[in-house]
Amino acid sequence: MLRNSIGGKLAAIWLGLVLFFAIFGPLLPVAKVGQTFNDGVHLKPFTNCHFMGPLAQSIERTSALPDMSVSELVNTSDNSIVNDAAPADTLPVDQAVPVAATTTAPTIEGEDVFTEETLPPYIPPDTAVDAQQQEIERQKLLNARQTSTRCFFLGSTSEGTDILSAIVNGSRTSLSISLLSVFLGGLIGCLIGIAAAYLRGWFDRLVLLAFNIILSIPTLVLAFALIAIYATPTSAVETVPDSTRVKVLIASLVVVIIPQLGRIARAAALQWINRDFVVASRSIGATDISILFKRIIPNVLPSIFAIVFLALGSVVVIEGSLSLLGVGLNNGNSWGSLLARNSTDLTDYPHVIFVPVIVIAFTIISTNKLGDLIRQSLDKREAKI
Amino acid sequence: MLRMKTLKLILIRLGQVALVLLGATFFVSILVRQLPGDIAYMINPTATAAERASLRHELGLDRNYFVSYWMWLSPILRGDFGFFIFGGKVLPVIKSAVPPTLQLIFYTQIVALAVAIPLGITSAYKQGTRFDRFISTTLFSLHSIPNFGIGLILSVLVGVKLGIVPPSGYGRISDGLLQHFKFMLLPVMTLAIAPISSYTRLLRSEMIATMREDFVTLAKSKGLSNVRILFRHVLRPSSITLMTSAALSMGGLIGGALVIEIIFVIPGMGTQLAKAIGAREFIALQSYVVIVATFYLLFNTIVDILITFVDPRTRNRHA
Repeated sequence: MLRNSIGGKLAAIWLGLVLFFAIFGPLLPVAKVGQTFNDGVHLKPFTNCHFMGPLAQSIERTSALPDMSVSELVNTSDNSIVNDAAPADTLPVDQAVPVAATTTAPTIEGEDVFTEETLPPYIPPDTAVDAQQQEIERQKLLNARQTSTRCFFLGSTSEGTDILSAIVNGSRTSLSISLLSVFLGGLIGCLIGIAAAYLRGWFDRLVLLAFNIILSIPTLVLAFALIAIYATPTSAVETVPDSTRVKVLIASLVVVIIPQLGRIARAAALQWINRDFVVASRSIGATDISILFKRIIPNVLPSIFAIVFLALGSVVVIEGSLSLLGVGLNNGNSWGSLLARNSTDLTDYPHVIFVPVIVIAFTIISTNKLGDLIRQSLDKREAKI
Repeated sequence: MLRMKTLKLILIRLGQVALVLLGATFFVSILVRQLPGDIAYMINPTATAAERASLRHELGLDRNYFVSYWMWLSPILRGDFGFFIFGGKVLPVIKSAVPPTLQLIFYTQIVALAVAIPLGITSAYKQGTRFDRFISTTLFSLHSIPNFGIGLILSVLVGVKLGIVPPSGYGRISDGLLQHFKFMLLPVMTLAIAPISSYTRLLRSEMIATMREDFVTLAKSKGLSNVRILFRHVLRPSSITLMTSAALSMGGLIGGALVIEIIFVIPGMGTQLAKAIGAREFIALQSYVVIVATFYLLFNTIVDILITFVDPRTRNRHA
């Protein structure tokens, strides 16, 4: 199937990569969820990256970082110490710890330390207020670079989160939401659809009516309404915990997926139910259950698989849309919520939005490509029969 | 005889739609009843217990599902879509919110067809060439980018960086046609990319299939020019499927339009839906969902019936 298709190979590689990150994300040297590295400064992509064993460096430097947030560091230490990196023992006792912490990073490899020279040139201010403001900005940038010498391969968000880490962490949530909801929805939908096709009669009609009712409400609106109803706090001051949100999100996606996959499963099953070999096995006295599981389901499954890939992609899109609409996850812990959380920075720092969009797009291109390839190979198999 | 049969089919179809619509609204009304918290308390937090009980009785919240469903449905049948919990009627809001959404969908459809038909014809005529492969790969990739992603990127690149058109907002037709189209350009471009891709693929494969038919070979043997064969003999039979797909995707576009509206700040149904959910306006939410579902079903049904007239082969499909 993949032999003659470069696109298919690339798609499989990308999905494998995403799956690898989703499973082994916690073991990789990436920032933990919510861990920030600078004091709310946007860093452009490739900040502090030297491309000489960046992975090895980032491991050392992540471990060398103080177990203390940057804002604490800035507040406790005088700003001047960042500039004139004085030896720790000449300073008062209460400042010794932060200075040691801030100066450990540059000493690791003896690499080029970010000093005044590498910063943007100092522009003479017009007014006193401007000067103060510029000095604060400069200090923030300086602090950000001094305290985090890790490589910001894809830049950082306005909260100081490394985007690459956020993507890797988000792949776990996004992928598990979509895999779980497609698996559950597909399982229930296929069972109902195949049963309806096999039994016909009033059950079939009832199932079709129920499917049509759910399909008559646009997918996004239904998921939107379901989450809004089941994950809404009872009063304005309360908040819904993220675990509940994820559960409701998955449940509402399942409700959305059931009729879509169920209808396809029903149509596929109808094609096989009156084939000669099914009639033959019934004539020799096979039970309904054995006909279903030995004759029909094995033949219906491949065409379901092709659709499942397409559904996986569309679920990732729905998750992103729901986050953007403000009812999905909003903790920055999935691709969609990364988008939603940083969408206000769109005009000034577009890379914060472009990176998650591109990652989502690659994932969907891959799932669609694989689904397409499966369908093509099925068509060939059908043509041979 | 035939006419009676067609009429009967249309009536059956309309009956099915009415049944689905009833089911959908009942489904939504059950969902809304599942809301946590006391709606009567939300409407009037300072009311006494007796007042709250009478308010609940008025809204039908103390009855069973069927009675409260009817109490909600009967005013809607008379054209009363209820009120906002924080004051005001829902109907005027719906009246102002439906036109932007419908405009968005119709413009998208027009743009998609205007781009997809030439592309489809060209790539069918040049099938297997580099041009064909380039077009199909590009469209496949574009089709896979989520529409909110395209929307965000376009609004930054075209709206903010180039500054040709406003990055977001909405201008009514009465405020000037040029302004209206300027505001609509980016949302329509965003929404049109997915249908352009699917229509082009559909038209291409349909035309390739039609070009293998005997009457095309005959036309070729008569010595007709390629252009004449393509447009007179191949395009017409191939376009029925395209028109069907275009019309059926009308309903699907509603869902896409809702997100795009919120990204581009267009005061349509999507924005109102999001607002209703944010402000916990549950009566309004119920009415909005009904409006959206009704449009969705109506598009699909009208199209289905029209196709029965246009293409006689499908007439027995629902029998």
